[in-house]
Amino acid sequence: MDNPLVSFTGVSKRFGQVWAVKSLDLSITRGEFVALMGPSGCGKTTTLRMLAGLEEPTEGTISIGGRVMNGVAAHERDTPMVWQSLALFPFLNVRENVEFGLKMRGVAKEERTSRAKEWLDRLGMSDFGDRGIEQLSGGQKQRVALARSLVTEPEMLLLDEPLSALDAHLVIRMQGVLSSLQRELGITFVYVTHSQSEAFSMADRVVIMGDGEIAQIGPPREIYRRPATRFVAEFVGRNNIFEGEARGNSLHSPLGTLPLPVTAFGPAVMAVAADRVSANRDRPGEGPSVKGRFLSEEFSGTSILCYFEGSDGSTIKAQVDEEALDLLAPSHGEVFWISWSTDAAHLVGS
Amino acid sequence: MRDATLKYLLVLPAVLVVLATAIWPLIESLRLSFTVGRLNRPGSLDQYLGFENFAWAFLYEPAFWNSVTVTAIYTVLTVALTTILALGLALLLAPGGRFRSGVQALLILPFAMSPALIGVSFRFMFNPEFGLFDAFFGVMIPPLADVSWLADPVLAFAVCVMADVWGWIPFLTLVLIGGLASIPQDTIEAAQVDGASGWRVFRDVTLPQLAPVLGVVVILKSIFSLKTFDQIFMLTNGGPGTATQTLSHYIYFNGMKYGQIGYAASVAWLMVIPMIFLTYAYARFVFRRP
Repeated sequence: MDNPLVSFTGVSKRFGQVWAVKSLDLSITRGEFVALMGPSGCGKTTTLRMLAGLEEPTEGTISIGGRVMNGVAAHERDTPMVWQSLALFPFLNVRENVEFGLKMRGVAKEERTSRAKEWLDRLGMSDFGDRGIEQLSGGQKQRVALARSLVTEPEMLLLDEPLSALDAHLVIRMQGVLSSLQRELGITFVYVTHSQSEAFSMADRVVIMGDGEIAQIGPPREIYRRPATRFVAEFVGRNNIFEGEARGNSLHSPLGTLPLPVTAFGPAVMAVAADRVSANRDRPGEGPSVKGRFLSEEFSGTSILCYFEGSDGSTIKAQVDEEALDLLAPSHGEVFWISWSTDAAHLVGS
Repeated sequence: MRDATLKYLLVLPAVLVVLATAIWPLIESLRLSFTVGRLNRPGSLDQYLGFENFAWAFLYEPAFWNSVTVTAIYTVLTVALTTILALGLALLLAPGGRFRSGVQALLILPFAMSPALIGVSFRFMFNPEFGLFDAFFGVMIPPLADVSWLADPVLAFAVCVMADVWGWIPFLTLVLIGGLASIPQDTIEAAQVDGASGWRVFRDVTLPQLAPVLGVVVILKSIFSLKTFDQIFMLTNGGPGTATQTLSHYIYFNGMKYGQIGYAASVAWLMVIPMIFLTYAYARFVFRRP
């Protein structure tokens, strides 16, 4: 990557006896929207806090714009952050909150006021300048927090699960606000989240972290369609995992012999996305298939996830639409053939 | 027995105790403040003077005004010094501060000492012949080498302030540590990433959020400083002369030593005025709506 804005080189962070982040290497280009995603305790927030200067790496170097930032205090960096709790100042009104960063940088009063007003206008909060923070709704607070972070026109904005406290409909609206802001301003967003939908819908690249390490980096589609490891396949969700012994072109699993998309030998894990799987009463003529007893269905708006139990007790998921489910009309305990095409399968690292 | 009757009966003993030990003495002292009230003059406890005692204090008693001045300076100095030092210590000892482990337990020690005992120990340590502090300050500040601290009006006053500040810092520090701990860490970090240096974080983020607790601390300490008696009584007994005579000591002297119960009662009621203001301010701070 040419001239990255941010680079982590062999960065590790230890708290007491626990390594929160282990030899992390990551480069982020200017104007990129990168999401750090992973389960709780995977080190994503620690990584973001090290970038902000709120934690010092135990090992390795972090540079921003070519300058090594180890030992540089948070207030000497230009890395504003939006927090899960928003961390607005309750003793200041909306305008004073937005002006705070400018005030700390010694910007004159008139300019502060006009720039704060400009940002409040931009985020549709122009009528709220004199309000107290406690008088705002969750979505309004969110906008104030964004304005406060962006008013200093930073090169990069850090966001730590900024939408996790909002209602579902507000999350979708704020995702739109964030995406368009990032595109218009052309600044780098580093976004920490545990939500797959937030990461996949907004980010240019997603970094999946697990246990303090990077499990996979790539564009959302690549991560979704070609999970690199079993951890990623399981975390990203809606993947069926088949474990067994690869012998050339087939995988010998407890559910039977399944064709592999590539040639491999030894213990192997194969992932098949639930939306690439179909369920039928009759065995399909060709392609891999396994038997499963119908357990339950889960309605999620646009699609339905059906759960089956394989002969070895494992759970198999198939995503179907409403029409298909009506045709199938499964009853509990009924046996179906779950099938997919060979190229929908994907061999992952264990 | 009906519940309504029973509940009053159950609370009656407590009410009687409060009436006998707090309410009656208060009313009696108010009554006495309008009488000649001399212990050595029979009948004078019922000899009414109107507001003469109050007028006497204001118009003809330099000693009264002296004790008002001493109390005022003493209160301002002890409140300011204790609060500032306690705030500094609290910042060092609070979660995320520099010296956390173990020291907090040590801190409570001075607070566990009774004020009278603090008075006695400070008098002992400022003894010109074998006092530890006397020798220490003598070495540190040579002009003070041969000075008898408690015999000098200004230095004796300084010793009283020192003893009070020493005794009160722990409690105020603990209260302020509690206050600091309740400030959301996020707001501090948000200020840091927005470019606030350590001092600006303290001034622009920590202090405004600590203000309600600081307000309570200052008011409470003012009340305690205003009514200081035992420590002064043991340390200097108001002397040399009347250099360290606070209002409560002045009241005690007039009432108990000279037997002028009526006059002492009227001065005591004068002292109630600032107390009412402070108590009202305290209640405003503590019970105000969020």
